Amino acid sequence: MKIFTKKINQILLILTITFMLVGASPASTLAATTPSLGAALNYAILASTYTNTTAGTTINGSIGYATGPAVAPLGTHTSYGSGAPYATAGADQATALAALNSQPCTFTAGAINISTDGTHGTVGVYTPGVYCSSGVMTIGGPLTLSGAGTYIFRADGALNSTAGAVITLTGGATANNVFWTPTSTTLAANTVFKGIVIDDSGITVGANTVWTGSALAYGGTITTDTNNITTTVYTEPAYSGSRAGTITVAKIVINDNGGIKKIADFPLFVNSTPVISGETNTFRAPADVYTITETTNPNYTQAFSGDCDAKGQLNLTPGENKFCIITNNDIGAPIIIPPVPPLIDVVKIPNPLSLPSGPGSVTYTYTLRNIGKVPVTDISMVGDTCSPIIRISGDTNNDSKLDVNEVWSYSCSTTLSVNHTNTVTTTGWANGLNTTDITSATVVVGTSIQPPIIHITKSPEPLTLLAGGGIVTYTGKVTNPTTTPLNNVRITDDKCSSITYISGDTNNDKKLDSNEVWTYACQVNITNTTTSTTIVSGEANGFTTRDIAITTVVVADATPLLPKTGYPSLEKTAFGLMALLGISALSIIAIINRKKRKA
Amino acid sequence: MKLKLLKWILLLLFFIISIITIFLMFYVYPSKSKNNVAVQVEASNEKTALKIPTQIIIPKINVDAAIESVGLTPQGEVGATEGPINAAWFNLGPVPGEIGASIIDGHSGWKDGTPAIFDNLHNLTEGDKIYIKNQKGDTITFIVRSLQIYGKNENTSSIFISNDGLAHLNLITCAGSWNKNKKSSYDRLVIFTNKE
Repeated sequence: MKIFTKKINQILLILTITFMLVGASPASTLAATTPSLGAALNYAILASTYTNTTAGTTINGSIGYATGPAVAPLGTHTSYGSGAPYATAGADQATALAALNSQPCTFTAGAINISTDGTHGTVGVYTPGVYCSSGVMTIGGPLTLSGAGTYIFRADGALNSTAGAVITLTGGATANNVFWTPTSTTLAANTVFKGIVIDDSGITVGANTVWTGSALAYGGTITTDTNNITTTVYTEPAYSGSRAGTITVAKIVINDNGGIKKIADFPLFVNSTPVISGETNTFRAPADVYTITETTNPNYTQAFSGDCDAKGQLNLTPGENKFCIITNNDIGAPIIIPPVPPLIDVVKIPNPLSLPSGPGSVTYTYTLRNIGKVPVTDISMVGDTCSPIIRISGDTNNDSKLDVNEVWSYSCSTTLSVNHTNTVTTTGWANGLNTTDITSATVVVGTSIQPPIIHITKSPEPLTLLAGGGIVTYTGKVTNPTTTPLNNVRITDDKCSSITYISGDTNNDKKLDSNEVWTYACQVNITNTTTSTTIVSGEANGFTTRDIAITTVVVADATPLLPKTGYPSLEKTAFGLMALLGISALSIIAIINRKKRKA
Repeated sequence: MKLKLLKWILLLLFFIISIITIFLMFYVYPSKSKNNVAVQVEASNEKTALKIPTQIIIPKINVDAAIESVGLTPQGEVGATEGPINAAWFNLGPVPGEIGASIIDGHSGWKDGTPAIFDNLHNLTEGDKIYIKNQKGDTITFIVRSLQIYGKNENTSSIFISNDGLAHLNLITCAGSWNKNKKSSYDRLVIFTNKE
């Protein structure tokens, strides 16, 4: 019996050790991870009530609140107040908090002064991990976060700092990877704080505190009302060079069924960051998928094209310039006569194309043409880096309309110190529809290599169709505005797949030379109003150049009424009857007069 | 005295009739050709001029007439000719011979017994031939496929929309009794044809 009991104990011991090893192992190997903050990313302050009663507070980053401060803080704010994406940011804050709370603790303590604690490791120094306390967590002095990775400080109690407490980041630690999730937060005066606090119970920031990070309390109150507070908060860094790409979102609005909305009626967002139609925005690259969204309208359909997929998503690698087009088509009363959509074309050429001696001045020349069939009004040009864009000539009759076949010339000069791809988005309106053309051109600095430019002019025929639709022929004419021949010319269209090369390569060298016009054609049967996006690309001198052409064909959605082909032309009947009665009346008057004279 | 009163009544009547006539001319029945200008310009740019139809010949009902080009009225109706003699080609649709449903309409039942081009359109039967000449001088032949009467509220999409990839010509004229309020016949007779 003793032997049996002894063996049982041995087995239990082995099982216990095994369990401990197996059970303990995963926790010790799990690394803390940084959750997505979604729309909350760019908020420095996100609160239900934001209180600030004293001038002198500087906040760089968005400020979101339902109840605002008596004194607006200084600094730059992309969003301010309760406008979008405030509500979305609140939801994303909760999602991020759940993601943080789901991560197991790598160190657990009771109420703790993390500046003086030595049980976790070196006093005052922390490496990436999840540090949990069952009570108040205090930053009672210097605190160093050392090493790249994610830090999570989870307190089942308040987070406090003592006056003059300083957090230092070393060894690759960054403020946007440091998270604090207490029940409430109070930072004493002169604290130097790093990280993102998510705490709906309230955050109070003491005088002269310098904070690199974000205060997120969507359901609570954030107070920065002490004199001389400088709250420097984390904002998305300005990514550039090898860590950046650009996204340009352009909007097409089709009011062919009685709608009256304009571009500004559909606020646009890239990963919840507000953007303006036509403006080029720099984003981190490489990065996870970027999602383009907008404030939708139930009376308009929505469709994505360009570099976006059908969900409005795209990937961005360093140096890329991506374009996403959102088309909104109104839903209204069926129309019999389709409105003729406008159609414009813009060519942009920088001079010079390269600045071999280093930084210098570049002048962009823009040539805008109306290649459609109706005059275009409300022309606007939005450039990403060059301003102002000045019209030099073109509106010969001074009617402020880009008339059919009219050519307007613009110019803009700027100084470039690094390689740069300038994008300009031109928009015009006619008959309730807008037309947009996006053009890009690269200038290089510090080398004599000439970057290439490619251009496409696309025209659909016809521009309108009666109900039921029909065959549309798209003709694309591709040119090379520079002297550098282009290789690997490729052309794609999102609504017409069978693109055929017609002619243009006069010397048959398979290169698009500067004096050549390559013509492509594509036919497709369309049954509804269709906006199509064509992208053409070419390569030379190690660069890839692209151009985009966007066109709309409007299709009526009600068939014509049948002709009036019956009894004589109605107006003739009416006029004839009237004339007959009139003549009769005059005749009777004449007879009466005659009788009267005889009498 | 009575004569004088009658004279004044007649003058008043003449005045009222004149006002009504002017009103009708400028507001109720504005010039058809003027209304169709915009759409005709648009259409003329889109069609190959040489394919525009010029003459319609239907031997069975002794039709041999010129073809005018019409667009849509501001009310969205397919246009019609001013007089009873010619036919009207709807220039926003395909030209006869092109893939799709080309439309030609013409009057019938003109006033005072004046002959109109499509008075006898209802006598056509399946298999009858229709010839269309165009500006190029080509003659395109169509064969009657069917006849159909369309009432006031019927769906007319099959007249204008054809998705079978073939060339069709559909002839339209009035049918049925006269609608005094609408100043038009209640129904339309449509002859559906296929290109030979």
